[in-house]
Amino acid sequence: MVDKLRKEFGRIVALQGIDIVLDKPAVYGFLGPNGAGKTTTFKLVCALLRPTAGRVLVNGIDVQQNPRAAMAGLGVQFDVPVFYPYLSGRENLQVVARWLGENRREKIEDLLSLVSLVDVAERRVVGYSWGMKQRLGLAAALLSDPRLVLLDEPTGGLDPGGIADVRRLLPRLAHEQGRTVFLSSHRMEEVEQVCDQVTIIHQGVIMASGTPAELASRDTWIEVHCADAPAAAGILEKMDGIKKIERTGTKRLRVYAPGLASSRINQTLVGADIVVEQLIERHESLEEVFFRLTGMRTDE
Amino acid sequence: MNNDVAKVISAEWLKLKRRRTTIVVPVLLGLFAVVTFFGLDFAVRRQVIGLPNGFNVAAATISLLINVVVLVAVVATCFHISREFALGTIKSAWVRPITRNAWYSGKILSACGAIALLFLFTAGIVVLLAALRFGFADLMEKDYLVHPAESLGWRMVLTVGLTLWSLWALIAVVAMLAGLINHPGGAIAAALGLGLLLTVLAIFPALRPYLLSTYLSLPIDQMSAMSKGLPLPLSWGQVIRHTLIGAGVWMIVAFIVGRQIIKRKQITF
Repeated sequence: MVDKLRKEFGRIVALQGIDIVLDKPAVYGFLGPNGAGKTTTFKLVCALLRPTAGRVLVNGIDVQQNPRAAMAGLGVQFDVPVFYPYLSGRENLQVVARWLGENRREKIEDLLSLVSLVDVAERRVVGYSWGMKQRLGLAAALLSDPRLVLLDEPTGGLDPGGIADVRRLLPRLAHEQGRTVFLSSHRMEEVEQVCDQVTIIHQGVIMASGTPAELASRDTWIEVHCADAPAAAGILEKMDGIKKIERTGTKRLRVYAPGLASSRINQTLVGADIVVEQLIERHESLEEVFFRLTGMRTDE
Repeated sequence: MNNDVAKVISAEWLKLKRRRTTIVVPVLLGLFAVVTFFGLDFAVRRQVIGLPNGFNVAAATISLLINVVVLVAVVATCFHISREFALGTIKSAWVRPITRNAWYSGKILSACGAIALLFLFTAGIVVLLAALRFGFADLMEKDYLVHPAESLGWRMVLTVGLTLWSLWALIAVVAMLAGLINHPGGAIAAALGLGLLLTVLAIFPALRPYLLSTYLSLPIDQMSAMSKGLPLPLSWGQVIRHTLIGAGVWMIVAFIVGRQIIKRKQITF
């Protein structure tokens, strides 16, 4: 749980007192543009940074007060994979196992198999591709059997097969193994596909939070394609239940009418002798929600 | 020993076993010791310097060797700690259930252990060569016994022990600097800068007894003087007290400050 977390770097305010609750085993997505505060939040959760105000509890333990106990239940994969380049993949996991104070030989082999690195486990990490390092990072994060798994861009640099593997694995970690997975990603389709809950952050402020379906259905509208859009707009403005009408072209209207059936709009326009070519009920995609909340343009 | 410190040392041991420098550095230092020894052997046999006695040649060789060991200790400690920040592997270590204090203590202890092995290995080579070439006989001045071989032998052991103690203090100081600077090159430059400062400060006789560089050279200078039959400026009791207390204070202060630096460090990269 992240409680009123604020972080300043000199004059720069990276986080403006955010609250995040990860209260059940599920996959939580953390969306935001570069510099939004995602990695800073992760580093605060891992106690790699000290908060200016607020606190972070991992499994009920304050990470600043008792980082050792908090880290026992935490597994982290960083956006930039960090390993000892002169050690092999297996040896890097053995180093992690020694930090954990256990041998975990079987667990290491299971994880190498899970992330498909068995064949290259003896090779020095310096010769690994970015994707292989990412997969090794995932194995290292899971080595301690953590209850909370933080994954910063876990599919960055993976090939399509690797991406599909990770996307299949994440829901299993949450729903079959009872772990809480908190992942940051830039891939909207990935978040929509694997996350049970999504939090959008922008400029250190939480902009929205909810299930992908909830976020996407907050703003619904009816796209009207007709022969005379200005006339149609004039008629629809007088109708009950219409919240807002936007002209999106000479023959196109966007009608915001929550709870109003598209058939009624069709009936009204046809009754006024306006030729209706198409009526489409639409809602914002997660991507559109993201762009709207963060103020970013899709062509940026 | 704290269990977390043992975990860190265990991980460091695994890393050390796989590094090429673990073999290369002792081999190079061993070669340096052998070459230096035979250089001195040549000079002694031609009566250019010193006495043809095992203690004298061993002390002279170790006094040269210690300069190289100090350099190796500085560079190795800087890499041992700062490289974790430069590579980013520190993030991986600090998100495990080990305290930062334990991590830092484990790092310093493993560095102290490695440098101790290196120093004892090379000093051992020198002592062995001295025994084979000259033998460890009593030190005689005409018919008078200046120092018996047993007394010289024990002082040689004491010299190695006290020098090692000072080397550990040096490692604690360098580790403190390395904890402050996130890059090995910067840390080495800072350590060499500190060395230069200590050399400059050694110009002032009043400051000399408090400098770390003094404790590194004091026991070996005493041993060299003793093995040549020269008058000793300090008693061995004074040398032991000065080195143990002086280097110990440097070690403790550097360790405490270093722990605070590591505890407060934020990982922004």
